[in-house]
Amino acid sequence: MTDTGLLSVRVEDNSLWLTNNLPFVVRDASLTVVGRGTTGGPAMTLPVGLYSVEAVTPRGRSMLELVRVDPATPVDVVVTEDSGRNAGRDDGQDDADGMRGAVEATLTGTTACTLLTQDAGGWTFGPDQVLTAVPTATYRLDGRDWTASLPLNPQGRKEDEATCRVELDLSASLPRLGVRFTEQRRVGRAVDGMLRHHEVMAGAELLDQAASLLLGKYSDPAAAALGGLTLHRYGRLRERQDWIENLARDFAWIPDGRILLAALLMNDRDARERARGLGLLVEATEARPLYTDGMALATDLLRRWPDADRKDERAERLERLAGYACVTDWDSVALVTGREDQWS
Amino acid sequence: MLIEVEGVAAPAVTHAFVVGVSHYPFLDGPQMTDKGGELGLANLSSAARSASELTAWLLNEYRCPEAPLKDVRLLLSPVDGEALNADVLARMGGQPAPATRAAVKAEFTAFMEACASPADRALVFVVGHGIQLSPRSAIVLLEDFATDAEPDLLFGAMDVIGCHDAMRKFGGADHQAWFSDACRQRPEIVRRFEALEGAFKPGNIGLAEVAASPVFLSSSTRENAFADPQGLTIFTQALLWALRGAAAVGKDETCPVWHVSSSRLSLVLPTRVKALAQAGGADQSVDLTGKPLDVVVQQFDAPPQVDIEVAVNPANLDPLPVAELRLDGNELVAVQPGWPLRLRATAGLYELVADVGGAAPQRKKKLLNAQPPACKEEVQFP
Repeated sequence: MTDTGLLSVRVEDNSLWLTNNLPFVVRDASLTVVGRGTTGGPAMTLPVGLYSVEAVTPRGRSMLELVRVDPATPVDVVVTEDSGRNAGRDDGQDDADGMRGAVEATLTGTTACTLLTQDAGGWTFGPDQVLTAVPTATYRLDGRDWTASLPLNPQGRKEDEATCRVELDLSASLPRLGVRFTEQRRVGRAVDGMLRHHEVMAGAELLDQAASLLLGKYSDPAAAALGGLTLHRYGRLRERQDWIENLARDFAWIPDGRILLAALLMNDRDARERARGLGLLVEATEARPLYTDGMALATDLLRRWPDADRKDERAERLERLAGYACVTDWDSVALVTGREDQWS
Repeated sequence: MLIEVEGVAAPAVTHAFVVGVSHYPFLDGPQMTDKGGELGLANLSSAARSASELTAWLLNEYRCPEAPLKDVRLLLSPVDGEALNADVLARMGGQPAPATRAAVKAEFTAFMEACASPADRALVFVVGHGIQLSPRSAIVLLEDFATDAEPDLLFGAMDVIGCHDAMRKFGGADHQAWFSDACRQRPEIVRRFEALEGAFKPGNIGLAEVAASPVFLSSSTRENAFADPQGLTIFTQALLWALRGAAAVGKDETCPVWHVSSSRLSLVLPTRVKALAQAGGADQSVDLTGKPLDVVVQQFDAPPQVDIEVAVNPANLDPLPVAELRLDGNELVAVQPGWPLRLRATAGLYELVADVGGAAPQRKKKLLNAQPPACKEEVQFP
C-alpha cells in the first residue's frame, strides 16, 4: 500500500472571504494536476512524493511552492499577501518605493477628490465631496501630462476603505501611473491584481466569485464596476443584470455601470429595452469613464450598436471618447490618458 | 488560398485562417493614393513572413489527435524580397494569394462554413498594420487599404473582433483560438479611425456562445519594434516559442498529455512579448479578450525537456559541493560534476542534494520545478 501524507493550503489575511476562497492547484512530480481546491478547505491526502502548489495570492499574483509530502509531518502551505513577490511583474507600492527620483513627476491637479498623503512610494487620494463624476488626478511626467481616473469609494466607512493610491511604475520604457486599490479594499485589490498579473484565466472562478461579492454588496461600487466589467469581458455577466441595474441607477458618478447595463441590453429582443440601453450609453459617454475597459466597452458598443437609432449622437460620442483613446495607457486598469497634442 | 492536409478524415478537424500583410501599395510606393499618403504609413517587412512561419508550424508541428489539422486558408501580401517560408510557398504553388478585402471576405466566409461541427477547432492568426482601438477591439489593414476605388477608408481592413463575434454561431467550432498581431499607430492616426466604419466583418453577429474562444490582441507602440532583423514579428516569435514547448504544461482535466493551453499562453505571452519589445526600446502589450476559457492549442507526444541550471552561492565555495539529483526525490539523474550544475532533463519536480565535504561538512537540499521554459535556481551555503 502506498504511503500517504496530508497537504493543506491556508491564507493569512485579514479578509475572511479571501482566506476561504483563494484557488490553488497541486501538481505531482510529473507536473500532472492531481488536485484543486480553495484555501481554508480540508487537507488533501496525497501519496508520498514531491508536489508543486500554485495559488493566487490576496494581491492577485501567482505564487508557487514546492513541497515534499510524507506520512510523518503534514505539509502546511501558507499564502500571505507577500507570497510570490518574485513571481510576477510590478505590483505597486512595495516595488515603487524610492523610485520616484528617477523621473520628474509632479501632481498638477485633482478633480472631485483631495490628496491625503504623499510619500516616497506615491500619492493617496480620498473623496472630499458627494461624487457626481469620476475623480481624477493629473500629473506631469517627464514633460507630458497624464490624467488618471481614481476608483475612490465614498461608501467606505473608514478613511482607508475610501481611498486609492497612485504610484509611479518605472518598469516600462516610459514612466507610467499605477492606480491601485488601497490595502483595506481587499477584494477589489485582488481583482485588480489578477487583471494586472494576467491571472484572469487561472483564477476565473475566484474572479467570478469576487465580482459577484462586489456587485452583491453596496460597500465598494467602484470595485464592483471593475468586477462587472471583468465578468462582461469574459461572458459571465448576463445573469447579474439586476445588480448592474442597481449599479447603473444608484452610482451615477460611475459611467461604467451604465455602459455595462447598455451592453446587456444591446441584444435584447425587445426594441424598447435596446432603446433604453442606447439611451444609457449615450448618456454615460458624456463623461469620462473610470476604467480603461469601460471606455473600451463603450467604444465598442457605440461602433456596433445593432439599430440605426441616434447615429449622429453615437458618432459624436465616439469622437469624444477618441480624445481619451488616442493616448491611453492600455495596460492600466483605471483609465489613464495623455494629451494628444503632446504626442504628435 | 486553401492548403489542405492530405489524408485527414477524422470526424472532427482543425481549420485555420491565416492572413499576413506587409505590402501596402496605396500607402507606400508608386501607387500611393492621396488618402494613403496622408497617413504616413510604410510597408512592413515581416508580417507576411510571420504568417507563413505560423502556417508552417501548423502544417508541420501542430498536434491535436482528436481534431487534426484539415486545412489552412492562407492569404499573404509580402513586400519584394520578403522571405516566406519555403515549404509554405511551395504549397501555394510559388505564388501567394494576396490579402485583399475581397479575398479575405471569400476565404473567411468559406472558413466559417468549414467550421461546421462543435467538435471542430478553429485557429485564426492575422498580422499586419493595425489599429488597436482598445483592449477589446482591433482592425488589421489589408493590402488594398486606402484604395481610391472605394470611398470608405476602412474598406481594405478586417475587423478582427467583428469576425470573431460572427463565429459565435450555433453548431460551429466550439473551441477557437484567435491571435491578432498589429503594429499600433500613432495617436493622430488612431484618432482618424475611431469613428469610422466599413472594415470587413460578416454581416450577422453570432448570437450563440461557443465553449471557448480567447482572442490574443498584440500591438506594438513602434513600427521599428514590430519585428526583429530575423524577420519575424515580436509577437510571432513569442507565440512560436510558446507553442514549441516553452508554454507547455502537464496533464490536467482538459488534456491527458503535455500541452499548451490558452490559460498558460495568457501568462507567458505578455511577459515574453514585453521583454522582447523592451530589448528594442519599445513597449508591446498583449490583451486577452473574447471568451477566454481554456483551449488546448498544442499537444505533445512526450514530456518536454527542460534546461536546468543551478548555481552555488558563494561561487568560490571550497570545496565545492557534490550534487545528487533525483526526479521526485527517488529516481537518480546523472549530472556532470562542476558548478553551475547544467543539464537538460525531462520536465518534472526534482530534489537536489548538495554535499560539501572537508572539515566542516554541510548538506543542502533544494526542490526544483523543472517546468518549461527553463529552471534556474541557486543553492545557498551560509
